[in-house]
Amino acid sequence: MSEIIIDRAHSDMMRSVAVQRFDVKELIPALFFLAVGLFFLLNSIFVVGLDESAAGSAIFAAVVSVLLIGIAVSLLIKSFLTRGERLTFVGLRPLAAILAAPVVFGLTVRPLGFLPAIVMSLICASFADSTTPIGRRAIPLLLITVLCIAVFHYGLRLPFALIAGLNLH
Amino acid sequence: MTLIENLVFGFSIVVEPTNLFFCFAGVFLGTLVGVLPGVGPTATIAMLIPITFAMTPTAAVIMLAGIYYGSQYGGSTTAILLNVPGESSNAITAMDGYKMALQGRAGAALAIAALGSFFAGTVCTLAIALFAVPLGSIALKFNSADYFSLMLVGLIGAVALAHGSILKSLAMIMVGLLFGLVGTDIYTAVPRFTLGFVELADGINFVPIAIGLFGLPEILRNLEKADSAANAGIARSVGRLWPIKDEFRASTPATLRGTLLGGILGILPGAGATIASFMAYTLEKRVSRHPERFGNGAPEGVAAPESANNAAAQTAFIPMLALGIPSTPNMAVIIGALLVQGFAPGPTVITAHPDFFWAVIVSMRIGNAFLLILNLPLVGLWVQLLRIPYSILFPAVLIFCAVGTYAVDSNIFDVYALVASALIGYVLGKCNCEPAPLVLGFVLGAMIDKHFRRALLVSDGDPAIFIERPISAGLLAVAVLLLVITVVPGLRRQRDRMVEE
Repeated sequence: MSEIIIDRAHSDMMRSVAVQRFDVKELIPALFFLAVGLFFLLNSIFVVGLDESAAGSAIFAAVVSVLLIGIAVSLLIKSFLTRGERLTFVGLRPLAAILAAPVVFGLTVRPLGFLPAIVMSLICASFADSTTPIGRRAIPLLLITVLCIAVFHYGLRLPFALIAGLNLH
Repeated sequence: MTLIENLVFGFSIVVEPTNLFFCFAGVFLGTLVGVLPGVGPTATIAMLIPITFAMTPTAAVIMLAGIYYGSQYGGSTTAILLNVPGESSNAITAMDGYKMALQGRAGAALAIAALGSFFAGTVCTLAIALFAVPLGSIALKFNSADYFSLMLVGLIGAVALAHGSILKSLAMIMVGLLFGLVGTDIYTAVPRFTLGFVELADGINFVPIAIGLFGLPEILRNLEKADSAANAGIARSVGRLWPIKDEFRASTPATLRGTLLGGILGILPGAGATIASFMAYTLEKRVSRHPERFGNGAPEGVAAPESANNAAAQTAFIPMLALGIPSTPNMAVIIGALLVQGFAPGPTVITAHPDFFWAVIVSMRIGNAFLLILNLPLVGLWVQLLRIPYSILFPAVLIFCAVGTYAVDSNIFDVYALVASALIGYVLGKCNCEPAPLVLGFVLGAMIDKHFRRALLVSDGDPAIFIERPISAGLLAVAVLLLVITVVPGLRRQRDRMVEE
């Protein structure tokens, strides 16, 4: 039993040491910049093509990509030389709810209509808030639905049927 | 036409019922956005771009501009009454404004902020009229090499004065530049970096990028934070809505200095209203005979930053209107809104579209007058709005973002772009990478590439053209100087300390 405890303590210590070995706030941007830089550089060379003319279609992109990769490498090195704090995030549920709500709207507005799409998106968005009871959210969500219909459908006359198939424009 | 005749001409266009309505709508929304913490003017302007498709470019800019400078007024209300700045440019106002409110002088503080902003707006609107025209005339002599160098100065200036890490800001600009190159090449008509997606043939749509980088991450960040507004003590009694004689005497020179400083800083790329307000406060404290009063309810501590932030918000329009170059993220988003409408701001706008130019300038005068009325007698209305919990606000904001994005082209691809840029904006924001340089780079990406290649085409591929042209050489020298300022250790420490403060 004591061996297991020691092993667990040892692995916990190793995990915390591993987390502190690099600065996440430098590493993540470095990897992102490196990915973007490489994508544009490789596309410039192999897809668009760097022709002999200095005014070629990809020359500017190639130059900027090289500079970006240089910055990315420097941030990458820095991330391993410094220790940083852990990153905290809003939580998977709010993140998923906020990012999914626009997609729900986009996928449902044509097949179902503007009104159902708004309602479904609002329901999806409301999952981001776990502190307010569902009952207390109903009236505000209803008011927001009415506001959206007033502004977008009647005010701005967006070209979406209020309810698909019912010919309500 | 003389200046007066041009202003009268502009006035005749602004007083048309439609333009007047949008001017009022813009400043009303701006005040609302400024009052409500967690909803910024940049995200609001981005969200409303689809709505501007139904408007003329003149009405669109009148409204969007109203949102921008209106938010400077609105942000001071929460800063003074709640000690919670509505916008970052009002953060320093809270130091003395809230103390004045606790001393029973909230009304006086609000009046000083509103009157200082109104004065700064009046002076700087005149400055736009006086300086934009000659600047535009000079810019007409620019060729592609000069424009390239000018945009480079704008981008490097944005890095020099931006918050946070210089390397990260530079990298974000470069990412924005590269994203701005996606689409069909205007010279060869060949798709570039589109990965075969037909939807990208016209480039990445600006609206999902702008909303995704500013709007959705702001919602996520606010959901993380505790609701500080609910816990903060609200100064319950606004009191007499006018300063006493001593407060007038103390705040007048501060207003004048704040206006001058803010007006100059607003033109510089990357400076903006936030830096202007902080520098004005610092200056006021340094010149004051009683600096110990600052932080304890000094009227100058309210007058200076509020005049400066509104002055900067107005003069930021000078490079936008005269040169077509954005000096702040808000200007970049407004230019994006005009480009989406097929209207390119720049030096030719003054002569080719004088109705647009002079109407926008005069609308700022009228908008400032509306704001004085909205922010003083109607301050009670805004205080009530502060009681709306964020749990009710954010679904409305989110739906507006979603509908606005989809409504651009009725294309689900734009929604995916919105979600992708929101995730990028949120995660990189956590890593202290500001989204503003990316948006600046994105707006300028295609333009800077176009001018770069056109300059090389004219010179038969010889890059010496950028140094042989005196204007271009001068601008490149300024760019190098700005780069040196940001990189030299002693100056960098000063910049970092200023940013930290």
